Amino acid sequence: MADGERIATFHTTYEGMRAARLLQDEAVAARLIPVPRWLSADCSIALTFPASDASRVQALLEKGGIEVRGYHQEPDGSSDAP
Amino acid sequence: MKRDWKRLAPPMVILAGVAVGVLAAFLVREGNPPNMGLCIACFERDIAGALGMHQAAVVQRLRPEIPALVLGVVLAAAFGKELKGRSAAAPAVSFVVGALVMVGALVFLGCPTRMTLRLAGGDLNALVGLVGFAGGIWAGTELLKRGYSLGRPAPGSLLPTFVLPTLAVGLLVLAFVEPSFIHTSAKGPGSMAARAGMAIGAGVLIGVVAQRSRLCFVGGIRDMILMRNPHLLVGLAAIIVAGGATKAALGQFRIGLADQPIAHTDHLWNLLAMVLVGLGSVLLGGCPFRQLVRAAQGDGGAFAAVCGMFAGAAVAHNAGLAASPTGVPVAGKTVVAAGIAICLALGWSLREPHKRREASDG
Repeated sequence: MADGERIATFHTTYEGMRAARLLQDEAVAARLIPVPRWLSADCSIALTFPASDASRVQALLEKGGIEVRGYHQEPDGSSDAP
Repeated sequence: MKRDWKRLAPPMVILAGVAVGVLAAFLVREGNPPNMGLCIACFERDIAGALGMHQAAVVQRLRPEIPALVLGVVLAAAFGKELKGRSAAAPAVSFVVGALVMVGALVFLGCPTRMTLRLAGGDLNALVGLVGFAGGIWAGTELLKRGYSLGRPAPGSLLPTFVLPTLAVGLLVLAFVEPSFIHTSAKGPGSMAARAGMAIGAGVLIGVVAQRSRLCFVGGIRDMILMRNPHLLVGLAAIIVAGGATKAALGQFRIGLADQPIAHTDHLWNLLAMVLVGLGSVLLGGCPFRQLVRAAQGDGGAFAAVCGMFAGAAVAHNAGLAASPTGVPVAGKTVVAAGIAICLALGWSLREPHKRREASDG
Protein backbone atom coordinates (compact mmCIF):
# COMPACT_ATOMS: atom_id res chain seq x y z
CA MET A 1 0.00 0.00 0.00
CA ALA A 2 2.31 2.76 -1.19
CA ASP A 3 -0.45 5.21 -2.02
CA GLY A 4 -2.91 6.94 0.28
CA GLU A 5 -2.12 9.03 3.27
CA ARG A 6 -0.34 8.49 6.55
CA ILE A 7 -1.16 10.12 9.86
CA ALA A 8 1.24 11.23 12.59
CA THR A 9 0.01 11.92 16.12
CA PHE A 10 1.71 13.97 18.83
CA HIS A 11 1.75 14.34 22.60
CA THR A 12 0.80 18.02 22.50
CA THR A 13 -0.99 20.35 20.09
CA TYR A 14 2.09 22.52 19.85
CA GLU A 15 4.32 19.63 18.74
CA GLY A 16 1.85 18.95 15.93
CA MET A 17 1.86 22.57 14.85
CA ARG A 18 5.66 22.68 14.92
CA ALA A 19 5.79 19.52 12.81
CA ALA A 20 3.37 21.00 10.26
CA ARG A 21 5.42 24.18 9.97
CA LEU A 22 8.67 22.23 9.59
CA LEU A 23 7.28 19.92 6.88
CA GLN A 24 5.62 22.74 4.97
CA ASP A 25 8.95 24.62 4.95
CA GLU A 26 10.46 21.49 3.34
CA ALA A 27 7.68 21.46 0.72
CA VAL A 28 6.03 18.28 2.02
CA ALA A 29 2.28 18.29 1.39
CA ALA A 30 1.44 17.94 5.09
CA ARG A 31 -1.64 19.38 6.77
CA LEU A 32 -3.09 19.47 10.24
CA ILE A 33 -6.27 17.53 10.90
CA PRO A 34 -8.21 16.65 14.03
CA VAL A 35 -7.15 13.21 15.28
CA PRO A 36 -9.53 10.81 13.48
CA ARG A 37 -12.16 9.31 15.77
CA TRP A 38 -11.08 5.73 14.94
CA LEU A 39 -7.65 6.54 16.33
CA SER A 40 -8.63 8.24 19.55
CA ALA A 41 -11.40 9.42 21.83
CA ASP A 42 -9.32 12.57 22.42
CA CYS A 43 -9.72 15.73 20.39
CA SER A 44 -6.07 16.60 19.82
CA ILE A 45 -4.49 17.34 16.46
CA ALA A 46 -2.69 15.12 13.96
CA LEU A 47 -0.76 15.57 10.76
CA THR A 48 -1.57 13.92 7.47
CA PHE A 49 0.89 13.52 4.60
CA PRO A 50 1.29 11.41 1.44
CA ALA A 51 2.41 7.85 2.19
CA SER A 52 5.10 8.24 -0.48
CA ASP A 53 6.82 10.83 1.75
CA ALA A 54 6.73 8.60 4.85
CA SER A 55 10.44 7.95 5.24
CA ARG A 56 11.35 11.56 4.47
CA VAL A 57 8.82 12.86 6.98
CA GLN A 58 10.16 10.53 9.65
CA ALA A 59 13.73 11.68 9.00
CA LEU A 60 12.78 15.38 8.96
CA LEU A 61 10.80 15.20 12.21
CA GLU A 62 13.59 13.26 13.90
CA LYS A 63 16.14 15.83 12.76
CA GLY A 64 13.86 18.64 13.95
CA GLY A 65 13.68 17.09 17.41
CA ILE A 66 9.93 16.58 17.28
CA GLU A 67 8.66 13.61 19.21
CA VAL A 68 5.98 11.71 17.34
CA ARG A 69 3.52 9.68 19.37
CA GLY A 70 2.81 7.31 16.51
CA TYR A 71 2.46 6.86 12.76
CA HIS A 72 -0.76 5.41 11.43
CA GLN A 73 -2.38 4.31 8.23
CA GLU A 74 -6.11 4.50 7.79
CA PRO A 75 -7.41 0.93 7.71
CA ASP A 76 -9.39 -0.05 4.61
CA GLY A 77 -13.10 0.58 4.81
CA SER A 78 -12.83 2.57 8.01
CA SER A 79 -14.18 6.02 8.42
CA ASP A 80 -13.97 8.77 10.99
CA ALA A 81 -17.55 8.22 11.98
CA PRO A 82 -18.39 5.17 14.01
CA MET B 1 -11.62 11.68 -1.37
CA LYS B 2 -15.11 10.35 -1.35
CA ARG B 3 -15.27 10.18 2.44
CA ASP B 4 -14.20 13.79 2.89
CA TRP B 5 -17.65 15.01 3.88
CA LYS B 6 -17.65 12.55 6.76
CA ARG B 7 -14.41 14.04 8.01
CA LEU B 8 -15.79 17.55 7.85
CA ALA B 9 -19.29 16.78 9.15
CA PRO B 10 -19.21 13.42 10.99
CA PRO B 11 -22.75 11.99 11.23
CA MET B 12 -22.17 11.04 14.88
CA VAL B 13 -21.38 14.66 15.83
CA ILE B 14 -24.54 15.85 14.07
CA LEU B 15 -26.53 13.12 15.83
CA ALA B 16 -25.08 14.20 19.19
CA GLY B 17 -26.02 17.82 18.48
CA VAL B 18 -29.56 16.83 17.50
CA ALA B 19 -29.86 14.69 20.66
CA VAL B 20 -28.73 17.55 22.93
CA GLY B 21 -30.99 20.10 21.20
CA VAL B 22 -34.12 17.96 21.16
CA LEU B 23 -33.70 16.35 24.61
CA ALA B 24 -32.94 19.70 26.26
CA ALA B 25 -36.17 21.18 24.88
CA PHE B 26 -38.16 18.20 26.16
CA LEU B 27 -36.46 18.43 29.59
CA VAL B 28 -37.71 22.03 29.77
CA ARG B 29 -41.21 20.92 28.82
CA GLU B 30 -41.02 18.30 31.58
CA GLY B 31 -40.08 20.89 34.18
CA ASN B 32 -36.42 21.96 33.91
CA PRO B 33 -35.86 25.75 34.04
CA PRO B 34 -36.48 27.64 30.75
CA ASN B 35 -33.64 27.50 28.19
CA MET B 36 -31.88 25.29 30.77
CA GLY B 37 -32.84 21.82 29.64
CA LEU B 38 -29.18 21.00 30.07
CA CYS B 39 -26.43 23.22 31.46
CA ILE B 40 -23.28 21.61 32.77
CA ALA B 41 -22.21 24.66 34.80
CA CYS B 42 -25.67 25.42 36.23
CA PHE B 43 -26.36 21.80 37.13
CA GLU B 44 -22.96 21.28 38.76
CA ARG B 45 -23.68 24.49 40.70
CA ASP B 46 -27.10 23.14 41.70
CA ILE B 47 -25.49 19.90 42.91
CA ALA B 48 -22.87 21.87 44.86
CA GLY B 49 -25.79 23.70 46.49
CA ALA B 50 -27.66 20.47 47.19
CA LEU B 51 -24.60 19.16 49.01
CA GLY B 52 -24.44 22.34 51.08
CA MET B 53 -21.29 23.69 49.44
CA HIS B 54 -23.05 27.03 48.91
CA GLN B 55 -26.02 28.72 50.56
CA ALA B 56 -27.88 30.28 47.59
CA ALA B 57 -31.33 28.96 48.41
CA VAL B 58 -32.72 29.26 44.86
CA VAL B 59 -30.10 27.11 43.10
CA GLN B 60 -29.85 23.93 45.16
CA ARG B 61 -30.92 20.62 43.65
CA LEU B 62 -29.30 17.26 43.12
CA ARG B 63 -29.68 17.21 39.33
CA PRO B 64 -29.59 13.60 38.09
CA GLU B 65 -28.59 14.68 34.56
CA ILE B 66 -24.91 15.16 35.53
CA PRO B 67 -24.27 11.76 37.19
CA ALA B 68 -26.38 10.08 34.48
CA LEU B 69 -24.27 11.72 31.78
CA VAL B 70 -21.11 10.46 33.50
CA LEU B 71 -22.51 6.91 33.55
CA GLY B 72 -23.50 7.17 29.86
CA VAL B 73 -19.95 8.18 28.98
CA VAL B 74 -18.50 5.34 31.07
CA LEU B 75 -20.80 2.81 29.38
CA ALA B 76 -19.89 4.00 25.88
CA ALA B 77 -16.18 4.23 26.68
CA ALA B 78 -16.13 0.77 28.27
CA PHE B 79 -17.92 -0.64 25.24
CA GLY B 80 -15.37 0.99 22.91
CA LYS B 81 -12.44 -0.07 25.16
CA GLU B 82 -11.64 3.60 25.65
CA LEU B 83 -11.66 3.80 29.45
CA LYS B 84 -8.09 4.85 30.14
CA GLY B 85 -6.58 6.01 33.38
CA ARG B 86 -4.39 9.03 32.76
CA SER B 87 -2.70 11.15 35.37
CA ALA B 88 -3.10 14.92 35.32
CA ALA B 89 -0.14 16.84 33.94
CA ALA B 90 -0.83 19.97 36.00
CA PRO B 91 -3.77 19.31 38.33
CA ALA B 92 -3.44 22.58 40.27
CA VAL B 93 -3.63 24.61 37.05
CA SER B 94 -6.62 22.58 35.84
CA PHE B 95 -8.34 23.13 39.20
CA VAL B 96 -7.82 26.90 39.17
CA VAL B 97 -8.75 27.37 35.52
CA GLY B 98 -11.79 25.10 36.01
CA ALA B 99 -12.91 27.31 38.90
CA LEU B 100 -12.43 30.49 36.85
CA VAL B 101 -14.35 29.02 33.89
CA MET B 102 -17.20 28.27 36.31
CA VAL B 103 -17.23 31.86 37.61
CA GLY B 104 -17.34 33.12 34.00
CA ALA B 105 -20.25 30.79 33.23
CA LEU B 106 -22.15 31.94 36.33
CA VAL B 107 -21.65 35.60 35.42
CA PHE B 108 -22.96 34.96 31.89
CA LEU B 109 -25.60 32.58 33.32
CA GLY B 110 -24.72 29.43 31.45
CA CYS B 111 -21.87 27.31 30.18
CA PRO B 112 -21.34 26.95 26.40
CA THR B 113 -24.03 24.23 26.36
CA ARG B 114 -26.66 26.54 27.79
CA MET B 115 -25.36 29.45 25.68
CA THR B 116 -26.10 27.37 22.58
CA LEU B 117 -29.51 26.33 23.94
CA ARG B 118 -30.33 29.96 24.82
CA LEU B 119 -29.44 30.89 21.25
CA ALA B 120 -31.68 28.10 19.96
CA GLY B 121 -34.49 29.55 22.10
CA GLY B 122 -34.07 33.02 20.53
CA ASP B 123 -32.20 34.67 23.44
CA LEU B 124 -30.00 37.19 21.61
CA ASN B 125 -27.94 37.90 24.75
CA ALA B 126 -26.41 34.51 23.98
CA LEU B 127 -25.27 35.91 20.64
CA VAL B 128 -23.29 38.55 22.57
CA GLY B 129 -21.93 35.70 24.70
CA LEU B 130 -21.01 33.73 21.59
CA VAL B 131 -18.96 36.64 20.25
CA GLY B 132 -17.03 36.80 23.53
CA PHE B 133 -16.71 33.01 23.63
CA ALA B 134 -15.21 32.94 20.11
CA GLY B 135 -12.89 35.81 21.05
CA GLY B 136 -11.67 33.93 24.11
CA ILE B 137 -11.08 30.80 22.03
CA TRP B 138 -9.17 32.85 19.46
CA ALA B 139 -6.92 34.21 22.23
CA GLY B 140 -6.44 30.62 23.45
CA THR B 141 -5.41 29.40 19.99
CA GLU B 142 -2.85 32.25 19.80
CA LEU B 143 -1.36 30.87 23.04
CA LEU B 144 -1.42 27.33 21.58
CA LYS B 145 0.46 28.55 18.50
CA ARG B 146 3.07 30.09 20.79
CA GLY B 147 3.67 26.81 22.57
CA TYR B 148 1.15 26.71 25.41
CA SER B 149 0.71 23.23 26.76
CA LEU B 150 -0.72 21.88 29.97
CA GLY B 151 1.91 19.14 29.67
CA ARG B 152 1.71 15.47 28.82
CA PRO B 153 -0.68 13.31 30.76
CA ALA B 154 0.97 10.01 31.70
CA PRO B 155 -0.87 6.70 31.26
CA GLY B 156 -1.84 5.36 34.65
CA SER B 157 -3.76 2.66 36.44
CA LEU B 158 -7.35 1.90 35.53
CA LEU B 159 -8.39 2.13 39.19
CA PRO B 160 -8.93 5.92 39.29
CA THR B 161 -11.38 5.61 36.38
CA PHE B 162 -13.81 3.96 38.81
CA VAL B 163 -13.85 6.98 41.14
CA LEU B 164 -16.09 9.28 39.09
CA PRO B 165 -18.71 6.64 38.18
CA THR B 166 -18.80 5.57 41.84
CA LEU B 167 -19.44 9.17 42.88
CA ALA B 168 -22.08 9.41 40.14
CA VAL B 169 -23.91 6.33 41.47
CA GLY B 170 -23.65 7.80 44.96
CA LEU B 171 -25.25 11.07 43.81
CA LEU B 172 -28.09 9.19 42.11
CA VAL B 173 -28.72 7.20 45.29
CA LEU B 174 -28.80 10.46 47.29
CA ALA B 175 -31.19 11.98 44.73
CA PHE B 176 -33.63 9.13 45.32
CA VAL B 177 -33.18 8.68 49.08
CA GLU B 178 -33.18 12.45 49.73
CA PRO B 179 -31.55 12.38 53.18
CA SER B 180 -32.07 15.51 55.29
CA PHE B 181 -28.62 16.96 54.58
CA ILE B 182 -29.46 17.35 50.89
CA HIS B 183 -30.83 20.84 50.14
CA THR B 184 -33.56 21.31 47.54
CA SER B 185 -34.78 24.77 46.54
CA ALA B 186 -38.42 25.60 47.29
CA LYS B 187 -38.41 28.44 44.75
CA GLY B 188 -36.29 29.71 41.87
CA PRO B 189 -34.54 27.68 39.15
CA GLY B 190 -33.52 25.04 41.71
CA SER B 191 -37.18 24.24 42.35
CA MET B 192 -37.82 23.42 38.68
CA ALA B 193 -36.98 19.93 37.50
CA ALA B 194 -38.01 17.25 35.07
CA ARG B 195 -39.01 13.88 36.50
CA ALA B 196 -35.95 11.91 37.65
CA GLY B 197 -36.55 9.06 35.18
CA MET B 198 -36.60 11.40 32.21
CA ALA B 199 -33.57 13.33 33.51
CA ILE B 200 -31.58 10.12 33.95
CA GLY B 201 -32.61 8.73 30.56
CA ALA B 202 -31.67 11.95 28.76
CA GLY B 203 -28.40 12.21 30.71
CA VAL B 204 -27.31 8.65 29.87
CA LEU B 205 -28.23 9.07 26.19
CA ILE B 206 -26.38 12.38 25.91
CA GLY B 207 -23.38 10.83 27.68
CA VAL B 208 -23.27 7.96 25.17
CA VAL B 209 -23.46 10.18 22.07
CA ALA B 210 -21.04 12.69 23.60
CA GLN B 211 -18.44 9.97 24.14
CA ARG B 212 -18.88 8.51 20.66
CA SER B 213 -18.85 11.90 18.92
CA ARG B 214 -16.35 13.94 20.98
CA LEU B 215 -18.86 16.82 20.81
CA CYS B 216 -17.20 19.93 22.24
CA PHE B 217 -18.30 23.52 22.11
CA VAL B 218 -14.81 24.95 22.46
CA GLY B 219 -13.25 22.34 20.17
CA GLY B 220 -15.72 23.27 17.43
CA ILE B 221 -14.53 26.85 17.22
CA ARG B 222 -10.89 26.04 18.09
CA ASP B 223 -10.52 23.52 15.25
CA MET B 224 -12.22 25.90 12.83
CA ILE B 225 -9.66 28.59 13.72
CA LEU B 226 -6.62 26.28 13.82
CA MET B 227 -7.41 23.94 10.93
CA ARG B 228 -10.42 25.38 9.09
CA ASN B 229 -12.12 22.12 9.97
CA PRO B 230 -15.79 22.25 11.03
CA HIS B 231 -15.94 18.61 12.24
CA LEU B 232 -17.15 19.63 15.73
CA LEU B 233 -18.72 22.96 14.84
CA VAL B 234 -21.44 21.06 12.95
CA GLY B 235 -22.53 19.72 16.36
CA LEU B 236 -23.23 23.25 17.60
CA ALA B 237 -25.10 24.05 14.41
CA ALA B 238 -27.14 20.87 14.88
CA ILE B 239 -28.06 21.92 18.45
CA ILE B 240 -29.21 25.33 17.25
CA VAL B 241 -31.23 23.96 14.31
CA ALA B 242 -32.74 20.89 16.04
CA GLY B 243 -33.09 22.66 19.39
CA GLY B 244 -34.61 25.74 17.78
CA ALA B 245 -37.11 23.68 15.78
CA THR B 246 -38.12 21.62 18.83
CA LYS B 247 -38.42 24.73 21.01
CA ALA B 248 -40.57 26.38 18.34
CA ALA B 249 -42.80 23.30 18.15
CA LEU B 250 -43.13 23.25 21.97
CA GLY B 251 -43.81 26.98 22.19
CA GLN B 252 -40.49 27.79 23.90
CA PHE B 253 -39.03 29.99 21.15
CA ARG B 254 -39.05 33.76 21.64
CA ILE B 255 -36.56 36.03 19.90
CA GLY B 256 -35.21 39.16 21.59
CA LEU B 257 -32.86 40.61 24.20
CA ALA B 258 -35.16 41.73 26.99
CA ASP B 259 -36.94 39.52 29.52
CA GLN B 260 -35.32 36.27 28.45
CA PRO B 261 -35.52 33.52 31.08
CA ILE B 262 -32.64 33.36 33.57
CA ALA B 263 -30.60 35.91 31.62
CA HIS B 264 -29.45 39.52 32.03
CA THR B 265 -28.81 42.19 29.42
CA ASP B 266 -25.47 43.53 30.63
CA HIS B 267 -23.82 43.12 27.22
CA LEU B 268 -20.27 44.01 28.24
CA TRP B 269 -20.21 41.41 31.02
CA ASN B 270 -22.05 38.80 28.97
CA LEU B 271 -19.26 39.24 26.46
CA LEU B 272 -16.31 39.31 28.88
CA ALA B 273 -17.64 36.43 30.99
CA MET B 274 -17.71 34.25 27.89
CA VAL B 275 -14.23 35.47 26.87
CA LEU B 276 -13.10 33.95 30.17
CA VAL B 277 -15.05 30.73 29.53
CA GLY B 278 -13.64 30.41 25.97
CA LEU B 279 -10.05 31.21 26.91
CA GLY B 280 -10.03 29.05 30.04
CA SER B 281 -11.62 26.15 28.20
CA VAL B 282 -8.94 26.21 25.49
CA LEU B 283 -6.30 26.07 28.24
CA LEU B 284 -8.14 23.06 29.74
CA GLY B 285 -8.57 21.42 26.33
CA GLY B 286 -12.37 21.51 26.26
CA CYS B 287 -15.55 23.17 27.50
CA PRO B 288 -17.23 22.17 30.81
CA PHE B 289 -19.33 19.56 28.92
CA ARG B 290 -16.22 18.02 27.38
CA GLN B 291 -14.31 18.13 30.69
CA LEU B 292 -17.02 16.00 32.25
CA VAL B 293 -16.82 13.52 29.36
CA ARG B 294 -13.02 13.33 29.51
CA ALA B 295 -13.07 12.96 33.28
CA ALA B 296 -15.52 10.07 32.94
CA GLN B 297 -13.17 8.42 30.41
CA GLY B 298 -10.43 8.44 33.06
CA ASP B 299 -8.57 11.71 32.39
CA GLY B 300 -7.10 12.98 35.66
CA GLY B 301 -6.59 16.52 34.36
CA ALA B 302 -10.25 16.81 33.40
CA PHE B 303 -11.19 15.37 36.81
CA ALA B 304 -9.19 18.16 38.48
CA ALA B 305 -10.94 20.70 36.25
CA VAL B 306 -14.38 19.34 37.20
CA CYS B 307 -13.43 19.53 40.91
CA GLY B 308 -12.34 23.12 40.27
CA MET B 309 -15.72 23.85 38.69
CA PHE B 310 -17.58 22.61 41.79
CA ALA B 311 -15.30 24.70 44.01
CA GLY B 312 -15.73 27.69 41.69
CA ALA B 313 -19.51 27.33 41.82
CA ALA B 314 -19.50 27.22 45.62
CA VAL B 315 -17.26 30.29 45.90
CA ALA B 316 -19.19 32.15 43.20
CA HIS B 317 -22.41 31.91 45.20
CA ASN B 318 -20.96 32.19 48.72
CA ALA B 319 -18.93 35.28 47.77
CA GLY B 320 -21.68 36.87 45.69
CA LEU B 321 -19.87 36.70 42.33
CA ALA B 322 -22.65 35.04 40.34
CA ALA B 323 -25.00 37.13 38.22
CA SER B 324 -28.80 37.02 38.43
CA PRO B 325 -31.46 38.26 36.00
CA THR B 326 -31.14 41.66 37.71
CA GLY B 327 -27.49 42.03 36.71
CA VAL B 328 -23.86 41.32 37.50
CA PRO B 329 -22.41 42.21 40.94
CA VAL B 330 -19.21 44.28 41.04
CA ALA B 331 -17.39 41.37 42.71
CA GLY B 332 -18.33 39.13 39.77
CA LYS B 333 -17.04 41.68 37.26
CA THR B 334 -13.79 41.98 39.21
CA VAL B 335 -13.18 38.23 39.25
CA VAL B 336 -14.03 37.87 35.53
CA ALA B 337 -11.50 40.60 34.65
CA ALA B 338 -8.91 39.08 36.97
CA GLY B 339 -9.71 35.61 35.61
CA ILE B 340 -8.97 36.69 32.03
CA ALA B 341 -5.66 38.18 33.18
CA ILE B 342 -4.79 35.02 35.16
CA CYS B 343 -5.59 32.74 32.20
CA LEU B 344 -3.49 34.87 29.83
CA ALA B 345 -0.60 34.84 32.31
CA LEU B 346 -0.87 31.07 32.83
CA GLY B 347 -1.07 30.48 29.07
CA TRP B 348 1.97 32.64 28.47
CA SER B 349 4.10 31.12 31.21
CA LEU B 350 3.23 27.51 30.35
CA ARG B 351 4.77 27.58 26.88
CA GLU B 352 6.99 24.63 26.08
CA PRO B 353 10.58 25.03 27.31
CA HIS B 354 12.32 25.16 23.95
CA LYS B 355 9.96 27.89 22.89
CA ARG B 356 10.94 29.88 25.96
CA ARG B 357 14.58 29.39 24.99
CA GLU B 358 13.85 30.63 21.47
CA ALA B 359 12.19 33.68 22.91
CA SER B 360 15.07 34.52 25.22
CA ASP B 361 17.56 34.06 22.35
CA GLY B 362 15.62 36.79 20.60
